[in-house]
Amino acid sequence: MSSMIKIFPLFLVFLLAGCLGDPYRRAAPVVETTPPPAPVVSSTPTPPPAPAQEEDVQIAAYQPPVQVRPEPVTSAAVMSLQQKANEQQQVGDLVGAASNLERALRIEPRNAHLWNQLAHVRLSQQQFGQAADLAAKSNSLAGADRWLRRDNWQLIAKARRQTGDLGGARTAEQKAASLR
Amino acid sequence: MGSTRRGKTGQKRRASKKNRRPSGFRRLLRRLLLLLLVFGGLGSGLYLLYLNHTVQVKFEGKRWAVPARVYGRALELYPGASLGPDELVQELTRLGYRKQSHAKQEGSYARNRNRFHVRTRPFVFWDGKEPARFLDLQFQGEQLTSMADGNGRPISLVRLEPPAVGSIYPAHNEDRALIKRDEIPEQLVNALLAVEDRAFFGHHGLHFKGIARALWANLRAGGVVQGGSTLTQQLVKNFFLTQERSLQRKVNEAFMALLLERHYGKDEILEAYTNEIYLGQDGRRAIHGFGLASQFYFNRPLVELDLSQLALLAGLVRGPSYYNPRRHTERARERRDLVLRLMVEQGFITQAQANKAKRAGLGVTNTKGHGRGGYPAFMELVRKQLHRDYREEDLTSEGLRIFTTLDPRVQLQAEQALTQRLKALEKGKRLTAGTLEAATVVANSVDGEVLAVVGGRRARFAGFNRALDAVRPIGSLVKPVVYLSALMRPDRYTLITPLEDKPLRLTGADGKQWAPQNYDHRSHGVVPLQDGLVYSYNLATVGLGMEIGLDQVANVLHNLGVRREFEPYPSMLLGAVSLSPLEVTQVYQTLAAGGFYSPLRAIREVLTAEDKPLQRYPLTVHEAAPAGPVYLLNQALQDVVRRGTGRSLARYLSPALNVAGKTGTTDDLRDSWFAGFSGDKVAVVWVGRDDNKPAGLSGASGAMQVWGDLMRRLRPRPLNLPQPESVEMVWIDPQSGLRADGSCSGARLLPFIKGSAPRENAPCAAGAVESFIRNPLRIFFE
Repeated sequence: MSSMIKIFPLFLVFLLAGCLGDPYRRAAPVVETTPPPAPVVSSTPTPPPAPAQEEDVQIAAYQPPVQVRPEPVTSAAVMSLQQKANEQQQVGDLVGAASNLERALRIEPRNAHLWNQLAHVRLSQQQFGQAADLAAKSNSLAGADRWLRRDNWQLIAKARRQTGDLGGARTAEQKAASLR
Repeated sequence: MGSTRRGKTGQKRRASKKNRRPSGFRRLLRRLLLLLLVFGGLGSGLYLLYLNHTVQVKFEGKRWAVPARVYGRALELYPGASLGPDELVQELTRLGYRKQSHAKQEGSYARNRNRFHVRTRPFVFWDGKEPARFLDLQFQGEQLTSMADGNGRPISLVRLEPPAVGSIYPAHNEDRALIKRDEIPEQLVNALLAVEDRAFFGHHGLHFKGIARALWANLRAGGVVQGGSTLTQQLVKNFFLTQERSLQRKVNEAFMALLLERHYGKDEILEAYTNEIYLGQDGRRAIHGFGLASQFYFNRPLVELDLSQLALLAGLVRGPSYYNPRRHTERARERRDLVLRLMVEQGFITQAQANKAKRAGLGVTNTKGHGRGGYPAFMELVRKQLHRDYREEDLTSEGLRIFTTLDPRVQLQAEQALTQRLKALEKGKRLTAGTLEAATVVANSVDGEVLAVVGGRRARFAGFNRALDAVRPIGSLVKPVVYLSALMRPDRYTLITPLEDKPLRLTGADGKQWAPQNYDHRSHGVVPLQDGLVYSYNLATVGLGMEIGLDQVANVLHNLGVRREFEPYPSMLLGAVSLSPLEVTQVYQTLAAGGFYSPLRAIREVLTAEDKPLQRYPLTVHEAAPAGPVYLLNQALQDVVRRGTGRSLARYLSPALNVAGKTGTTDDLRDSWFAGFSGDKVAVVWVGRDDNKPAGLSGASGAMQVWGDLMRRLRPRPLNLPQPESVEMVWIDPQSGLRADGSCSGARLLPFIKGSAPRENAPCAAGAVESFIRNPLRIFFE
């Protein structure tokens, strides 16, 4: 019981912390800009060109059969968002970059490169815990992409070092080194 | 002589005295009058000053408390998107797009089977403006296959405007959406002038000729058909004064109208008028201003309305309830036609234009536009999350624009699945219709965005929100937590660790002896660990949980996202923990995301009324449970559906989807639960009774039916679990639980945390030559 009493204020603190959530902060000044890794782009078949149309012309009833494509690794939609996020990262609009990456993740939630890029954005914003978690998420989806996994571990090492977790940072560096 | 003179003068004097007396009175009167005039003038001067002050302060300051406007998710269009043509039509209808033979106007579309031309409206998002566009879309089955602009150039990605799903209006229930002067269609201005105040641009606030004309018209008609008040007077009446009818109010109104005109231009007054005027009632919500009225009656922005619709709105000013076009169609039509006739009379439109407009239907939608609170359960979640960061008055008055995660399509499907399945369940169980209640939450499994919340059967009506507030024992939904706790110790537990499913006795919450039972009241002897979960064996689970320790299980449950505090009693292992469907969704979201916890979010962004970004609620992840054990657990949860308590889901979902899930049932069949996830969505369903009496449904026979129907409608992505680094796949002989090879019949490929798989070979694994051939084949077929 007494342990409950001891725990209770702690619980309250957690509860409050949970309630407050992350207050939104403007983009922190860019500390470092790590160039995001180039995405592995599957050859995206371009959609069949639509016949040129006058705006007032009745729509053609005939449609050429279209192949239903399997989901590509990185679709053109996601690439355009990634591109935008890249540009925003370069000019220090990290909030905007994060917003576009999240939008891309809603389209391709299992794209490990997007998670990695978002981790880099958070690292630039000095959100070290979040950066490391995002990199870990990227790793969980990276599969055999050694380059990406190494980059994630390097990022985790940096984030851990910043939070004073030197042991954890070394472990992460070793992981990264093993992926060379 | 002298006397006469004297006399005369005396007379005169007398006379003058006589005269003087009244003149003295007059003087007094004059003085009094002067005094009255001075004081009266001063008084009325002061009063005028006061009125002047009132007019200016209110007009200069923030004129209206503008409710926060809440939007659902914007539909993303891109080649490859999982979207059927009919779903696009639904979305466009929701947004008030008009179907035309040619999409010429913003907010319209044309369709020819699987091909669409769409003219989108521009919209300001968090990250900037999405311009109006022309889109040429093609579908193949339930997929958007190509998207191009008017010249055939491919477009990779477009967002439609987000559907407005509600507003947070203040206690006095006035709802409005502000428009600016340049957004007021000229034909609306003309219609208002024609019917309400033809001299508006000429008068100084009052118009006596107008009053006389109105009087005459009314006399002739034998009733009130025209008002004599100018638009300015009407604005003043609505804006500053009460609704009482008194001479004093009328005088105030006149003076204030004059003052208003003195200080402000006609355009400013017109803009205020169009935003202020009361135009309809939606339950307790009062519809103010033409901006909102346009949405309310036509579900479209004001700029898109045609002459007939604008005339209808202008006609409503006189009596929104009397001329209510939804209730009194004929009256409303006559009123509209009158407005049109007056417009012709005053030269605003031609007779031909009027005739064309008169031929049009009223065009009023059934949906009453947005903001009407069609999603009360979801909105409650939004409010709860907003109240962490905003004061109520900011939400109801600052005109904030709130972008939420609500997916109206998912919401609709969830509501329909729930009501239809409940009806069927009641019929099957011969229960009185309406006995059962239910709730469901659907979220994006990857990022924790809440897509739909259904708080009960009558989903469109606010009431007890079971999804958030029905805190019920979760039964076997807790079991995955017990098994995850075990699998997190790979030195002791794997998916095939033998468990004893045998009767046991424990000290329960109340200090009494507790003897848990299996659902079928039988013991199943020694079973592999995963089967304890797959078949939801209570005895095996309690035994396992006691071995691991209650604190450890409680810890893992907290890590997965449960904030609620509870006492770790043994009965917890069978779900004596009470949680809301929303809380359960959080737990299963963390599992679905491979152990990465993302707090469930209903809001993405908040913008000010001027479209300035105010706040973002970013996607966050936290590694709450190690990926390896979660992967093993999720495989077992897939087995629940493949061969365990959830196998009848095959009625609804293709086995190829590999969905994972868990049934939950509580004592005496009071609560029926199902929680599970596909590759993209996590959903939780609760079915039970509000009076907590037994509903007679197990998790599988009740909630799972709703879940299956719901998921089927959502076309979920298959669940392909990415195998973590820490996991290896090993062939196991089920008989011995040892390593198998191709010569073992019935061997299964199972995941293990690296190093935890049995090292010994099964007796059957003799390394025969044929295994060399069969093994790869098995891998192929598995």
